[in-house]
Amino acid sequence: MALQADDITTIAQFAHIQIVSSETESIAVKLNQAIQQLETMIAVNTTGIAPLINPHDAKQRLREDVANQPNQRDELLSNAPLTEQGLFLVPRVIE
Amino acid sequence: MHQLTLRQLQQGLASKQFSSLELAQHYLNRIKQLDKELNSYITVDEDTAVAQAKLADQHIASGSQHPLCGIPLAHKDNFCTAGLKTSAASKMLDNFIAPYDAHIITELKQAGSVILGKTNMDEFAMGSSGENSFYGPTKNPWNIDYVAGGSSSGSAAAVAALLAPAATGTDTSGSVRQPAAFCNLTGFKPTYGLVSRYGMIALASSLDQAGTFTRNAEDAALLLNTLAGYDARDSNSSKQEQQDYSSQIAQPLTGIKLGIVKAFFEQLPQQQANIYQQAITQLEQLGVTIVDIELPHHEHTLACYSVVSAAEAMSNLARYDGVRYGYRCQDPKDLADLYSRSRAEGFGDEVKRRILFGAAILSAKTYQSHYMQALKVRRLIQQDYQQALQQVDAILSPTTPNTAFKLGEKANNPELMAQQDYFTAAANLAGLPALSMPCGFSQGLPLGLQLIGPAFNDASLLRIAHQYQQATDWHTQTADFAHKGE
Repeated sequence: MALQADDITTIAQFAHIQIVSSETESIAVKLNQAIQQLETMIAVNTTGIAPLINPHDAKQRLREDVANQPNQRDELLSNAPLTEQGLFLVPRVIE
Repeated sequence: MHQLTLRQLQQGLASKQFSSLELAQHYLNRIKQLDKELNSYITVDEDTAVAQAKLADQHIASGSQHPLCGIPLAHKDNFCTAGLKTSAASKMLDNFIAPYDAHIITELKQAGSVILGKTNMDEFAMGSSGENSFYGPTKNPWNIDYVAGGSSSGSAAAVAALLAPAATGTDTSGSVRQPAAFCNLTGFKPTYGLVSRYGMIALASSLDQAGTFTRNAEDAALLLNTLAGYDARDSNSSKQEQQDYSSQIAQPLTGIKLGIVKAFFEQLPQQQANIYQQAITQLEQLGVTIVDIELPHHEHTLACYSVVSAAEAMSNLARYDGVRYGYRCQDPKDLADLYSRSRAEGFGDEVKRRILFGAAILSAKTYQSHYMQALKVRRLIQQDYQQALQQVDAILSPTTPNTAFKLGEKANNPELMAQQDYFTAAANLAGLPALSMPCGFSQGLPLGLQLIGPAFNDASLLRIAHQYQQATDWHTQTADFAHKGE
């Protein structure tokens, strides 16, 4: 599975990280080096083995749908780069 | 004062040999004097530290007996500390003032401890040397041309240079144990789930765990008594009953069995192998029986770890989008541009490399063959450790394949750097407690011996380490750098 320059463009879009087209080759080399290290692990026979997602095979705990925190809008906005009337501002999305 | 352990500081405060204010001011002065050269702290807030120390002195005067009341501590800069900059050593969070405290910070504040400052680290905990920080690398007090280890570089260097009596760190594949080994400290990673991750900036949520840097195992147990415990805000927080992690440490080691994989020691340079053999002989003299064990899937640890951690990191770091906090690019032309340029400009190279690797692995073509396969191999690795730990009380290994290396030596080679995790990453994959303790020096640089135990048997590891430390003095040795100007 060798990644090409086009694959890098797609991957970068997926990851929402801008890359310049002149970087795609060097990134492909780096990622392919990392992927090559996985060959032996990929080949391990794991028939009948369940994936281990959580070290204790724990299930997501649920709780009652009851609000348990006070309104803290100001704190939550305190680090935002751009706000207005209690909202986070982003470039126009809807035309 | 700075040469005292936590237990000795507790006794000193209780017997009024010094006050918490004097202690805090002493460390703050040392930091001013010595840290420019080391770069172990990112933020030191003197006013807050002094205020906390004065409050602690009032609590002590009115009878507080909490062992950590008045004790100054340093915290890795990926723990949220309310009102204080919390940067994860990244340009992305250079302007972030945490609006809340991490769980462990809350617990330590309630105990009356004092925050000396936030320590340097590899950016978003991605690294094994301390060289990936937006704020520059941290140096090793044992030789300032060498790395302190990572990712908890600053915490390790600060404690080793006696700029804090103890510090917190985080460990995802060895980021407490490896710098502890490089800096001659006791580094402890509790069982996954024992200490709440609430407020700990996430790298890989199924692997991350909060840990400690102390000068000995006794102090590690003291800290764990405050840090451990159920917290509903961490959905993987364990409901294990509270226990006193110091209660077993005085028990002798007669009857304890420690497992070793011979090949782990045979691959080391001869001088290091000899040092480890001496440590093993010392343990046998304390009553330990050494048992040969096998960990058949161990060779896949690094590959498995690289996939699981990159996939989880890609997901965890998706929140850094320039909208609600953190770095935002100038003049974004649309939302997509806002996201992609903020992230491209805000993250360092290693962080971007890992996110892109995670994105590649999680794409449709490789999701089953690479990601799900890694999770299955993860179970095989865990099963190996669980089976071995049915025969022995703990597993013994080197903490690292080498002593600290020179700054720049491995910086541009991620595959070489990843080898640092060879002995440590499996404990994170399997969720097991693990500890590194000093066991000797090779060419003037410290070596660490690692213990890995069964899940929730943290007290047993601390006991083994404490008994070893009663019979040896490697852990008492301090770097010359720490004594500059005395």
